[in-house]
Amino acid sequence: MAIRSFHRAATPEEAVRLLRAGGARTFYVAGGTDLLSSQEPLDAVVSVREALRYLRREEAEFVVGASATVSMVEAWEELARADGGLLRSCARDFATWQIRNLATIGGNLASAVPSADFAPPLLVLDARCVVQGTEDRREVPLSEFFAGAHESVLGADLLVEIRFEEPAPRSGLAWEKIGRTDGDIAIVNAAARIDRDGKKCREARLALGAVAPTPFRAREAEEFLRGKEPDAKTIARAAELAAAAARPIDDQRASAAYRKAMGELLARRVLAAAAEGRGGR
Amino acid sequence: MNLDLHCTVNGEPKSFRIAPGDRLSEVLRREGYFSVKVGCSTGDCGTCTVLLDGEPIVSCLLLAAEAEGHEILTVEGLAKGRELHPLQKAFLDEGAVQCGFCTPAMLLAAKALLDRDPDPSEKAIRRSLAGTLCRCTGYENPVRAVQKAAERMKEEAR
Repeated sequence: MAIRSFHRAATPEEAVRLLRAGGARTFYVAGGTDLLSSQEPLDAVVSVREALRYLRREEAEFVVGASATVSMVEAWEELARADGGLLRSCARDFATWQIRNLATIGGNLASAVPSADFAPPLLVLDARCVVQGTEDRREVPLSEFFAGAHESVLGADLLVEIRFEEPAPRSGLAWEKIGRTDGDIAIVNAAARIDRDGKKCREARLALGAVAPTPFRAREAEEFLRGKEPDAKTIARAAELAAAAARPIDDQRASAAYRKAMGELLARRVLAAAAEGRGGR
Repeated sequence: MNLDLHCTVNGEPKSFRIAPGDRLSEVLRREGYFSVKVGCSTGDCGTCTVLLDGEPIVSCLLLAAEAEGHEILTVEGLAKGRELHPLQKAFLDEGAVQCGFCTPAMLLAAKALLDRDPDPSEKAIRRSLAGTLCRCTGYENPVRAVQKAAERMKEEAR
């Protein structure tokens, strides 16, 4: 494809400088799977593929470098033990092996597509995005990271890493996705986390993707569940509230009506699984 | 602004003159590695699969410049001289090759699988081949070929 120059950044600071020195159509590249599947000519690319390719555990926090691949996350045993396999099951449903070895978690979020598979599970993990600007580094909660379809708060800044705390040992976490085929882009995806207090929900988190311009936390549903026993009826009502917050569109994969119906179904499924304390699918 | 790419292809150190926007699939074909097919250039068909440091990737979605310092394996590097790799033999024996366009990708994905898991389940084999579109075989014979190759490789290792 037509790209005038290729730069490899050794550090996030250097990447941000290089991007600003490039022409109007200069992009960061991590895995490259989104950038290279388009054919539009570019001025330059600034590669952070090697610089941000890491996974770390820092005390109670998991740190995912923006260029860590889907396969790396899938293989991370320590994480799978801590999150009940939530991110691993999300990774397993993601595209094909050949793509999972290239595509990155940072790219999945920074492309800001409504169907980004890693958004719902990271939203229920209360993940924060570490963002490098020209002067300094800041943290943005993932719930405030998406600004619209294909739009994030990044601008010319760089997503460096994603951080989240280890969920409590008794958190129930769940992930679900509906696509036309295994590994296809999601028609709807969803994740939930329920922290129990005896029989009741101390706190519930629910996130849906591909049913609105951005992946989102279904706050009304979460509020409704707080302090209640998560029986089938309560969960069904919460799922209705979540679907009511959806703003889906028609496209080649599914109609808006189907998306809404499936959003409600997946909300019910992930909440039921999370209430039982199960991990990912 | 062209640049020099230094990498290892099939065990040999190589240096290629490339453009910044060249996809790895384009460079490999230009340099004569014709087992690497280009079906779609959007990462959908999988026929441009190569192993990068032992991991299968679609080479159409990697800028060639990113391969700097890395090891690439194509099907040209599978056979030892005139001795075919057990996977290649098994694909022939099981009739797993029809038009042949996707065969190199299937062989490499299967090799990456067997390198990790010498005794894979049928499910694992199907999952490893799922990234390669095949419009001829219906996948049955390729799956059997990988099973047969795994058996033979285990016997040889004994």
